[in-house]
Amino acid sequence: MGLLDPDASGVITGLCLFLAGHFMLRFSVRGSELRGDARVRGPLEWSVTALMVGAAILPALVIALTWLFGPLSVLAGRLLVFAPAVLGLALLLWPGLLGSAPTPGRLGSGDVVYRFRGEAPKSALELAGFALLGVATLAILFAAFSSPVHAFDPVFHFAYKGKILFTEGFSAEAWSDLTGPVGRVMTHPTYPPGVPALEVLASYPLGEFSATAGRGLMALFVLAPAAWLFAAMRSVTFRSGASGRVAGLLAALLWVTLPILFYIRLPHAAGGFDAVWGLVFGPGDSAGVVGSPWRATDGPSLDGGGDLPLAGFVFGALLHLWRLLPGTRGEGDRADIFVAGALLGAAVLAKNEGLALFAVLVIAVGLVVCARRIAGLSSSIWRELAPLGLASAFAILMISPWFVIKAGIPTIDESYFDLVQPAHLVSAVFTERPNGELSITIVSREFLKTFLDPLHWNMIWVLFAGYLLHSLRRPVQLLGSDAVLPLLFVVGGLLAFFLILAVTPWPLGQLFTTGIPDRLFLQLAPTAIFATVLIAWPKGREGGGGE
Amino acid sequence: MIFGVALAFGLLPLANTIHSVRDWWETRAGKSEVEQLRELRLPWCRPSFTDHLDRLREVIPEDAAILCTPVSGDDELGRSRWYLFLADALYPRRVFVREPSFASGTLVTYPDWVRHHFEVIDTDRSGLTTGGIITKAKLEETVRLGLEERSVEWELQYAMVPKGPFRDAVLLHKGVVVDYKDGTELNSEGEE
Repeated sequence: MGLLDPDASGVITGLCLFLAGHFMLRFSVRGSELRGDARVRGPLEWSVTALMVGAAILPALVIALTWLFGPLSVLAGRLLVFAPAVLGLALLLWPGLLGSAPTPGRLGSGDVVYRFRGEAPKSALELAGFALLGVATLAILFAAFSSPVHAFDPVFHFAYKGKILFTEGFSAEAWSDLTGPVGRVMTHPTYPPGVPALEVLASYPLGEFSATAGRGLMALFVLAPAAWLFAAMRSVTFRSGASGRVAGLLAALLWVTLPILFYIRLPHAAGGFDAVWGLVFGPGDSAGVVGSPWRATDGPSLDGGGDLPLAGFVFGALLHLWRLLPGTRGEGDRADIFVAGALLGAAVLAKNEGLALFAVLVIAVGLVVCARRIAGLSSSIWRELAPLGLASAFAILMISPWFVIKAGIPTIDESYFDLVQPAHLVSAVFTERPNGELSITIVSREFLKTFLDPLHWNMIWVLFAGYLLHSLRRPVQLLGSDAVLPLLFVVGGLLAFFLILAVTPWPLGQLFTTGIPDRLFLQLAPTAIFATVLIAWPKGREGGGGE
Repeated sequence: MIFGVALAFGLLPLANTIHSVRDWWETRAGKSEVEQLRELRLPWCRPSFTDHLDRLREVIPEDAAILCTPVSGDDELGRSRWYLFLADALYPRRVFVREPSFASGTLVTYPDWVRHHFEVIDTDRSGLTTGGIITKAKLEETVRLGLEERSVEWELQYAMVPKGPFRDAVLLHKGVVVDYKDGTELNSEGEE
């Protein structure tokens, strides 16, 4: 055991991820700064983006280096954590190191980065919103740090692989010696190892593997999307004078409290009223949790699993690609391509669903650009698709070591790639399950039940569906609006998840006891909130009330 | 208005955080992570499991390899995947199983692993068929060679049941029984 506490190791790693991300972000923005077209990034947006870029790229490096050289020694691991951080720290302390071109402040980019004093909250409502966000941030940090990693997937699916990565790397005995009559056991060895790699990274300062070292970093995946939501909505402030901050605050609040709702065990079986009572006033006799030694936190969000990181990464990737689409209210520059690519790669490494959502995002951007061209709303398809192409190329570069490793591991559980092939798809979708019902009937019912449960989802999916139907009344206007990409992505993601569940060989009743479909919806939740708020506060009317 | 309702629901978890902090302060603050985990009611955190782990860790060297063999029990629902819990808890000791491809998959493939043990080890005590006896004879030789090749010298025999799987567990080293319980009656009940 090293001298450090595992949580301290995680916090130090978080700081280093931020500094490494700051280094990479500063370099990626530099070209735009030299050309004078760097977009405005405030200190908050800059900081969370730097953290997320660090949390995306360094675990991918852990995977690549472990693949090339075997398990990293503690010294090499610490070098990987600290060396980029030292470079980032140097740039943070001396921003002028990059040359004599216009250099912004320490955290941020663009011309007006230091005009924040004039942007103080303008109303009591805004003040209340900021205060609530502050409380929610503390609540998220408490939730992330206060429970030991203990749920099934985080322990046996992610942290166990982290132990192996840390000690044995991608050794054949641990990962691929599976097809004989005797061998080691590992759950889903072909599953992407992004979360285990993040835990490995967080363990290097400690000197030995600890899943606890990674638990605090889970808070990052709640707080970063909240900051991005706020930054995206209020970025018009600088150009038009209108403030989208109410919309931004509302969006951030809707998202930031959701993972807590997921994380705590609510007495759902006791009925809605009892659950709300238990939520607000604590567990009582009627709340159905009497005898529990403490309120269990076993929901799929801050538990150390992959759903929350995937939600954060994929939303970040979408948001930065959205900024680069013509006509969106948020500005974009070339650094957004790098950020989108890094986050997209990290999304694929976080969970299997990441690859499906990567494909959905590519299709969604492609459809929007092509449809706008057909409708005469855009001039150049290739220019508009170029950011997506470059970001995707970077993401593919990031994930390629893992896919080479994966090619050497036998597929021993269900392969959804094969299951969604047309020949299998139709028969699987229309085959009756043992209870006599069609898969699509069972999945539709479960989706509907989940969407309508406010104790899981606030009213997010009701809001999303309402605004989706509202916007579909004017399809051409929708196509030209900046809400169309996130809207299409969420609908595409839901369709993909629906298809996957319709063809899964799992007994559906059993599958629905494992947090599905809730945790799938969690992966799309920040984007759904973003789409909803973009429709409710159309471009140019951000300062007014929602529609 | 719907946004207002949504926000209200969103704020409920913040109210709940007050209770969470109080619960944490009253029941968990100051306790080690191991102590906190043992208070949880998860199968892999229960004393009925962790007491055995402590003893196994004392007896089995860290660089050893262990074969986990269910010798009785018939749980097909996935509540008895003790080999997963052992693989994690006993690490860096390497945990091996028969038919790892069935054991490493999802709950979709787990019943195949159970059936394999029904067929060649007769864990459900239903008796081996003639085919099973032949398969067992062929397989066990392959398994023996595989274990030798991988230097697996230890074997833990336990029950494939959700509760109390180690009540009658037997630890073998090179085929010889090792009294890992050291004569102590360990907590073997699977409390709910």
